[in-house]
Amino acid sequence: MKVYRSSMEKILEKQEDDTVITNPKEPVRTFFRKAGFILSRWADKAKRIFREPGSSNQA
Amino acid sequence: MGKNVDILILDDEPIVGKRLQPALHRDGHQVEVFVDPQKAVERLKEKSFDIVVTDIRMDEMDGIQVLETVTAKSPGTKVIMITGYATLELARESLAKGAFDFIAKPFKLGEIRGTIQKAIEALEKERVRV
Repeated sequence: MKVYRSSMEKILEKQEDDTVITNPKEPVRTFFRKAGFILSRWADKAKRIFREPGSSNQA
Repeated sequence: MGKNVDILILDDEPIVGKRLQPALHRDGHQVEVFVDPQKAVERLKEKSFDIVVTDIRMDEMDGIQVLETVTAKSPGTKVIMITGYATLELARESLAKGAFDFIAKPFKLGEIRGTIQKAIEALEKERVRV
């Protein structure tokens, strides 16, 4: 557990941690690309969970 | 905070290094920032870093090539891939080629700090085993 010298130090570190790093040339597109990536990750996870056992052997 | 390590940051967007360097330096790490992949690779050939944070899509060189260079030269180095063009295929390719983690932009500075901390813990565990 990190020990802070003052409550201000803790607030400043929290603010720094909340700094968003993105592609400054196209922040909106980058945001939507990430949203698409997260959705495809969820879809992939759901597919794995709901895949019927043995279905991967059918082809 | 754990052990202090040598970190190389490569992103052709200068703002990424500008934001990450002071924060990681304050955590006690030695940080070198590059915007030119060729220069970063030259430096990687000279010196072994504990952690490399690299962008994937860059004009002159692909981040995957950087990952391959690092893993060939120093397999113990933890490589964290960051990209604004994240896809499942790219994430799978990166991890299959030995990347420690894959982070899609935009991300919060705290997120990469956490990933670096995990990489340091993994390095420490490996060193204890040896």
